[in-house]
Amino acid sequence: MSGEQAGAAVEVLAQPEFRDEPGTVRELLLGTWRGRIGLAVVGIFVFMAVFGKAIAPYNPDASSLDVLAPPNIHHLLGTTENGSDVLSQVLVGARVSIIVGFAAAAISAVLGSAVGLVGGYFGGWTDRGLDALENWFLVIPTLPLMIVLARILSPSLTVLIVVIGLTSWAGTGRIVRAQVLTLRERAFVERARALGAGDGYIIRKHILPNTLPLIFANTVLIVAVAILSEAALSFLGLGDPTRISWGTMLENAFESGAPSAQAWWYVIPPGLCITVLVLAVSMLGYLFEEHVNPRLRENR
Amino acid sequence: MSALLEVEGLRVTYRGDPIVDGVDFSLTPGEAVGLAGESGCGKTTTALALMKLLPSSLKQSGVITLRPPEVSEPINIGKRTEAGMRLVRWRHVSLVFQGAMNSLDPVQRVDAQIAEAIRLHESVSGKEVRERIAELLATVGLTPALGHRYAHQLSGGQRQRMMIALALACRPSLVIADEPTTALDVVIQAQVLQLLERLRERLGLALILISHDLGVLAETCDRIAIMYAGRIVEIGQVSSVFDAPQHPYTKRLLDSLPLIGGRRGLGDPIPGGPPDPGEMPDGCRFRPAARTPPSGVCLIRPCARRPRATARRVTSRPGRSGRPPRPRRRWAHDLGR
Repeated sequence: MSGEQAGAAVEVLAQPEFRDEPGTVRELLLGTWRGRIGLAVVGIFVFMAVFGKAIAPYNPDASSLDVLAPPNIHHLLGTTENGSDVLSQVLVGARVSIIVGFAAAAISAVLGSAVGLVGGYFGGWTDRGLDALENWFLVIPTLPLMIVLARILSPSLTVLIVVIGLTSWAGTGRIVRAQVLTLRERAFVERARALGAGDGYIIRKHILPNTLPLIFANTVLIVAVAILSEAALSFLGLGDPTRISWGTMLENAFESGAPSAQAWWYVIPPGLCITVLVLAVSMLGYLFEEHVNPRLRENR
Repeated sequence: MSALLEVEGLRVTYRGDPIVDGVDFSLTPGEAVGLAGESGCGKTTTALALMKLLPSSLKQSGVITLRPPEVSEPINIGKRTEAGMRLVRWRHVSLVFQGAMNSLDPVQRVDAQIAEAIRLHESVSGKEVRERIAELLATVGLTPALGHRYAHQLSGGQRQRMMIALALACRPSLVIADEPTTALDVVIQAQVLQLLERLRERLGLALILISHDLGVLAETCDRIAIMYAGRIVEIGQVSSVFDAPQHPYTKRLLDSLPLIGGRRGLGDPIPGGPPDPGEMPDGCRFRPAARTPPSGVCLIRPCARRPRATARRVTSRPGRSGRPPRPRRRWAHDLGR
């Protein structure tokens, strides 16, 4: 085509310029409304998680005599039954939700994709065994299982993360396995084998990269589930008692009779934070899921 | 010259039914042998068996000996373990796959896939790998910039060239090309074939070219082997097989081809398909009713397993021979030149 290749010994095929395919993660996040809103909301909460302690107007644990005060100039969101500042607690509480959400989702992603990759790739009895394990975790109701596990182990942030991670990987495993079943039959996997590649190499270099979008989309959804689970466990008193989270705030509120005292400022802020964060994360998750699963795509 | 590859009594079975049933042939260094035959006669299975790449449900037996010039000891492929085969694959024998699109990983840039082949067999520096990739791409007529693309960003011809560059990555002495030009248009087809031929001359590659396109094989190969129902029914120099086919199946196969410049109309197809491996007829495999050869030709005798070791071999010889040679055909492919 252009003159630069004219001197080549062998003729060079025409090379039309290609644009990168639309729909990269970046375009998905910044180019769609759902992406922008979801990213902005999650961004705000991540900011709270990182700087919450620094920007909180009061020490969230400090008690005062100003008990269950409605919102006023000094306490913008009122005070708790101990006279602590609700706003400060909400700001600080973001950290636990974000940490638990992302760490538990990471554990679940690693576990789920490992089980899915190994089972799907090797098949046979390995697959049957892992599949049975997956089924077991899918069938057992998650919340009671989490309650039992969290009860057995002593409550701490790590325990929360591990418990939620351990109980939420099965769906990822199932999805990854299904994808691997089709991938392992593809010609490029056979080609890799013809190159002299072993099983571990093929899984690492060819199968895993091809399932990553799926794992990613699924994991974002699990972040939402994990945040909700943390709130639920903390609300039931199974959270880390030394840390303030939105779940423990709600627990304290209910134990101190805040709802019956009509102390809405104590209940609504943490509840709303949980709802909004989970909504935003789910929105991103569904966005990615639609992107990797064209059947869910309505327009485009 | 001693043979680069010797295949003796290669058998591949699926639950005891033969898919490939006693194939033997040999290949000298730098020689191109074509493997022809209709779909389902065992061409690809034979090729994969040479590299022991068959799925575990297929069992293979027979002796395959490879004597690459750079290795002193002959390699007995039949006896190699999976780990041992990994050292042979691509280093000594490489494959050009049928669909280039599907044979390239969609999420990896193509040059990374060539680098992968080199790194699996040699420990070389990143700089050297890059140089070799640029060299390989130049060899197949592609610019290094194309290496940074993904498979879907290349045209069909570019992809197939990429596959050839990939096949050459470890400088093997034998390349097996399984339908390398299928699904390419005639112009690209001609380019790819020309490239293969030039590379063969330049690098002294031996080539096993699998195709059901007899024209392609006539263009590229020194010798041609006609496969039918898991066996090689006729093998010989391209010109002699095409001009004076001995086996009735070869004749019928050649008759199926439309002739450019000849009488208008389709060729004379062979009805039906090859016998199912599970229901191989006793005696001659060409016999089943649907595929009865022209009358007067005896095909009832069992196929001779070991035909005479002449330049060309024919199994299940017809009753009469010595028909005058046919006029040289003009293959559709000649037009590409």
